[in-house]
Amino acid sequence: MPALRNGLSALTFVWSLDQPTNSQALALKAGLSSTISGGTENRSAYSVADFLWLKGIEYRVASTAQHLMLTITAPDENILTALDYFEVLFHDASYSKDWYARELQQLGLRISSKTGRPEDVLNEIAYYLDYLPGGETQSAQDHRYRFGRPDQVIIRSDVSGIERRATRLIDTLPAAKRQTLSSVWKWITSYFEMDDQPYSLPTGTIHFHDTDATEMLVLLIKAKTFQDTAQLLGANLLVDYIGANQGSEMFQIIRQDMRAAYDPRSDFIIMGKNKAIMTLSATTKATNWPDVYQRIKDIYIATRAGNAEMAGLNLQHSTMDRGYAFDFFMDSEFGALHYLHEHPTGTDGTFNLSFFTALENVSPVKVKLNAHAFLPPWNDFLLILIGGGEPPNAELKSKGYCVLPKNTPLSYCLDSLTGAHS
Amino acid sequence: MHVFKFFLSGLFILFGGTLHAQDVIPLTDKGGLHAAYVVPTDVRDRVDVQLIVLSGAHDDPEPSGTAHLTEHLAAFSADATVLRQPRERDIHATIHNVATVYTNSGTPDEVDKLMRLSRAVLDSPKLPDGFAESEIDILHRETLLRERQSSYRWLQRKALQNLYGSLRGRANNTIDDLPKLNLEAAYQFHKEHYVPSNVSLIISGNIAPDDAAELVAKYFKDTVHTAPPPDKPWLAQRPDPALRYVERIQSDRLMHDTVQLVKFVEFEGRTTSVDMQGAFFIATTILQNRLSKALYYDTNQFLKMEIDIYFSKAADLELSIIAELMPGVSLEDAHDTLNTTLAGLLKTPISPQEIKRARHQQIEGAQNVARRASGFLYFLLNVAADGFPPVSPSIFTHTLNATSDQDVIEFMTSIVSPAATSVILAEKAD
Repeated sequence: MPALRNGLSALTFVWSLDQPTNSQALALKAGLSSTISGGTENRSAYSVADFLWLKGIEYRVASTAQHLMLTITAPDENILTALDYFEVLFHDASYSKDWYARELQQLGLRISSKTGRPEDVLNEIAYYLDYLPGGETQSAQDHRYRFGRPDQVIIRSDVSGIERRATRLIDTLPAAKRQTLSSVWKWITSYFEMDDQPYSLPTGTIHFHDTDATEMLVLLIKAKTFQDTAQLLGANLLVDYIGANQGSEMFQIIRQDMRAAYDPRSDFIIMGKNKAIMTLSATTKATNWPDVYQRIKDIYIATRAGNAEMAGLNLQHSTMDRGYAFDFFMDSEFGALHYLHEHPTGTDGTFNLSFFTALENVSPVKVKLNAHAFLPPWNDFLLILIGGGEPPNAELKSKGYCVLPKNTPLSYCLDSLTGAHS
Repeated sequence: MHVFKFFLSGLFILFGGTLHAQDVIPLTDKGGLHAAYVVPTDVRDRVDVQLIVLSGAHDDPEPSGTAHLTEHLAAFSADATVLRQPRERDIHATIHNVATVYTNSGTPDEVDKLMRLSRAVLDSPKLPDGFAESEIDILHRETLLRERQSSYRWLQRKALQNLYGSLRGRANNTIDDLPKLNLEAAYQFHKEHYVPSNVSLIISGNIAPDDAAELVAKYFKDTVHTAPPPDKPWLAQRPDPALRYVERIQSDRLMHDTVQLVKFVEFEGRTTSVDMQGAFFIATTILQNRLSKALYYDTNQFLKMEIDIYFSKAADLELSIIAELMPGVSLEDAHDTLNTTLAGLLKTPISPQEIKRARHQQIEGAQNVARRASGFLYFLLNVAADGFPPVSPSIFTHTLNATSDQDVIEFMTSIVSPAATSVILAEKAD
């Protein structure tokens, strides 16, 4: 992959998975993370953190339904040192039960009905879509897998000798990954016969009524598999036009004209090849939420009907272009995820990321004229209400309605609505 | 402003890149501005103009939130005046405790527009009928949204109210005061605080010093120095040194049981922080190293910890530690651990090697942070927000190298000495 353009080098180690449960995904990440952060027999957790800090080395652990990823970034001049250091951590990790427990707590999902944050809602939904339901979080002992050889390594660096050094590191790891990653494999095999997690959300309304709240989060969400990347990017552009920034329709209408919300917004999160979740949200005075909901609906329907203004759409198009280019060349995890979406089992030699080819070919004029083909119908969205104010009306309840109990994950209602629909 | 922030939640995040020395060049033909500087850099195809009003949330009159409302009004007014097409760009205005910052960024060929946008902030806000009034509603939404989203915000406010025994100045009463927000107070705040002599300007990035000087003269030469600058009564706020306030609360808005501690530290015989910057940054690095080692790496009581250290221009310091507890750890035990750790922080004397290492840590950290545009801007702002000249990473390195070990030890000793504290023990309720 091309080198980053911010003076950093990055390597992403990738281990294949096959749709673990959400609890198992959490345990996997906590296990991997604590293996690094917990130190070794000769290096305390503090000295590891101190060393990484001094050298400007960062690491991140992430997972999808198919992959467990460890991304290491460091200034170019320190990346080889970083690999030396991680080799020691891989081999000599002290597997502290306490560190595992702490990582598990830190990585755990926040209950979004408690925070009212759109990003916490998105996290809960992303987990729901990516992983199979249920499964007990593994006990502290179960994380004690040793590193097997990763299935792929994605390198973003021009530093001389980095491939040789990375290969040397990998060669020191046990080759029989399915035996060495025993815990991982055990989880995988136990679900081997299960169907893929369907990539969809129910429609209807989820309502958490917070009697103490003076505000209401109104959030609409849809998970969609697109025909191709061009379709996905067209939808991305339109959703950005609707709510991505201060130039968006939602900002101009809901904040600047209605004066009803501080931060109305949209999010378009790419979850896999041609898969995305899109959200429209605003936190508003509890008594005003039906009006805000209606205006979001009006904006969406008008945009889907082809009524986007070209000037605004062109601005959003250039912002989207710049944003993706920036992320690709600055954010190693972003690049790795896109690569894995397109090449989940890896590839050798020259390769093409069709996402960026499609990005070059997005035509705002065509997107505007065919908006209805890019955006799903309004009724396909799931409405999530978190806060105070009146309950939704009968019309909103008619497509499915779930009252979310206090301190309860959204999956409670997602399961309930899905069951009702099926 | 001298803020040092440190998070502990498992991962350290730094930035990388090529970096060169940066000069901070004062500009003299600046009209009535408090100060103007250019910091040329050759690493980015961009120019940033930071207009810093040297008043912030601490300067709020009654009601709390007035400075914040003024920030909104001035930002939208400047944007509408200059651009007349507000959809072209996002507005970047931020209120801090001691300053309000308007940042306009663009490519070098946009610098003239960036200067016009900056200059317009000082003009009395002009907004369409009804817009300004309804911006109060937006401020309500923003304040309540942030309050809901971050428990740290309200825990710290409560701790500061108890520490200072006040709802004003260094403490605030933001939520209760929301219904009292009004445009008259905001316009009056603008009139008193958005005056040239209370404003600094920093132009940084890909710009020649002569060009910057010409632009500052062009846009600010007509401004008139107005002395004296606005009063800052909060600088004299001092809690009783014997205060050891502890309040226990319960809330269903917390994710975990949480301890919030705030400590107020005075430095005997000192009245300005301007010559204490080197000692501050090195000593606080040692402080956070020792605290994090004792509280995070050597025990398993705490899940997450955030350490904030604020050093005022009047040479007093607020240390804030907020710690979320691991399940099963009692608030009392955590509080004891925190107290014992703080009291015993200098049991092991600070060695020259530890100071050398902390100095190195700060210099490396500064170099790394400054490689990202937002980090570089914040770096310049950090000290300039107090009205002092901005400090670039290269000047910072020089300052730290010139700081004696004795100064560091004395600084650290003052922080650890008994002083006024306010603690909130917050229990998560279902």
